[in-house]
Amino acid sequence: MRINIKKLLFCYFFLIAQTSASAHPHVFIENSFTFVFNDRGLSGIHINWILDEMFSATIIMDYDWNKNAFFEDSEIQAVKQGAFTNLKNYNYFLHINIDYVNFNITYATDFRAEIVNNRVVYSFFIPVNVQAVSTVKIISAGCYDETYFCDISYSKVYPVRLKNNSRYDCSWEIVDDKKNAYWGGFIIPKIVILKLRKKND
Amino acid sequence: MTKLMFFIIICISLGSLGFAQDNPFFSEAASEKEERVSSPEVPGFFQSLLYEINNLQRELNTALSELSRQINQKKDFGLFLLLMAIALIYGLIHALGPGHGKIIMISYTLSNPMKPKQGIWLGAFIAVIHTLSAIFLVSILFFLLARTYSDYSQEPKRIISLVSYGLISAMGMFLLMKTIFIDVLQLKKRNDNSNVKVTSKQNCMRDLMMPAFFIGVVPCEGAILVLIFSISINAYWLGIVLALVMSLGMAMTISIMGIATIYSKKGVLKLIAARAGAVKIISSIIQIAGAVVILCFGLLLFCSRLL
Repeated sequence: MRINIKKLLFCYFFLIAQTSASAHPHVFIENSFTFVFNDRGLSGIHINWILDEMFSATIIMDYDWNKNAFFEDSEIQAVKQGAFTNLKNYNYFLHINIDYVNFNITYATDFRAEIVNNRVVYSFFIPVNVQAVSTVKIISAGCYDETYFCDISYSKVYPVRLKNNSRYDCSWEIVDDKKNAYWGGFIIPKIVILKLRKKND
Repeated sequence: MTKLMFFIIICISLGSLGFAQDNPFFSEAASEKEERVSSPEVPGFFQSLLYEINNLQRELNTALSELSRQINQKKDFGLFLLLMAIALIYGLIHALGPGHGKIIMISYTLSNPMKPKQGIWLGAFIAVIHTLSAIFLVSILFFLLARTYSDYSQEPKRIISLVSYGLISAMGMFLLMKTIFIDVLQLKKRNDNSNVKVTSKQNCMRDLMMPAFFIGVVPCEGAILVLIFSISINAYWLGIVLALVMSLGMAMTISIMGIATIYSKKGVLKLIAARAGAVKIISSIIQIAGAVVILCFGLLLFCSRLL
């Protein structure tokens, strides 16, 4: 009797796929980007994360020492040290490209943590200097955790904002980045494509 | 075919990575995580399905926390039932993803002659131990040691994982030796004697507890977060009930996988049933392969935690 290897492999694949290819994030983050401009062009991206209520509870329990549902400066410093700085090892979950070239994130500034409606909100700034010229520059920014511990979605209210952009022609859209699918190709990250050009005088 | 094989290998590797995931907020990234491995092409259907499941899981997570707060403020039985239903579905979906020892469980099911009923029990034991372990850990951590979640995410988690993976490796080695020296050699002897039927030794429930403990002893991260959240709203009892109901959902998913594996194995053996000797040989090969997978995964995970 001839054994149908393809069928057998499919059965095995099906089982294995069930074990690996599905929803398992433990932390849910709502992300929004604010592209900040100066007189030269883009100066950086301000990131805002709203953590889910359950994970927020762990941060609040650990760092809201006086239990007043408010992070004082000393507590913010503690949050930064204890539950933010380590994210540098993960590039703060950020994937930034300038004209299709990977931008290396070296540090984050202006970290803040606050408690809003029982949720912890992180905000920080990533300096990304891009000089605006008369031709279009394309900046892409995605926020996703390739280890899949965190599921990061865009805010439904304000996924992207632009600040001080009056001198520039800017447009943005959120697209699927199929070529950077991760987690065995099962997850397609959504990235923001910003087109930047200096306005003609 | 090569593409399919590659796909399977990638999936297996992912499963191993997902066995006990680190929280990036507290744990350092392993160097290999920084290297991007090119992913195989996955059918769009799976990607869309996963996207929808993710959205559902996010909404369930939000509903769990919001309803828990409401119930804690006004004791409403209707809301409580709704919360339990959500917890059950959340557990069911939660266990679909990587982790929860499913690969080890599937391999164990392959390497041992088991009835579907035993597959259900094994899945249930793993899920319940996985959750009980979380309840035990959170209770000790918060009420006895007055430590925090970030404290756990560092050294204690590493030690628990090391113990679990060490035990899994030992179990893989034991199964491999048992299969080779007892089943295979005995099989050979029986073949020599010709026409003697091999009777599969059925594991009794008690025997399932040990592998279930080895696999499930690493606490479920999802249950830990639910429990910590419940402590934060001063309703630890609710957290324990929620975690246990979640474990029922997880048990369903893990058990279904156990049963599917048992029937797949049966199906494979049925396909080759026409050739008398082949059944015994293929059966032994499947058992050995299952034991080797357990051993390799155990060692791989153990070493990854050791480094």
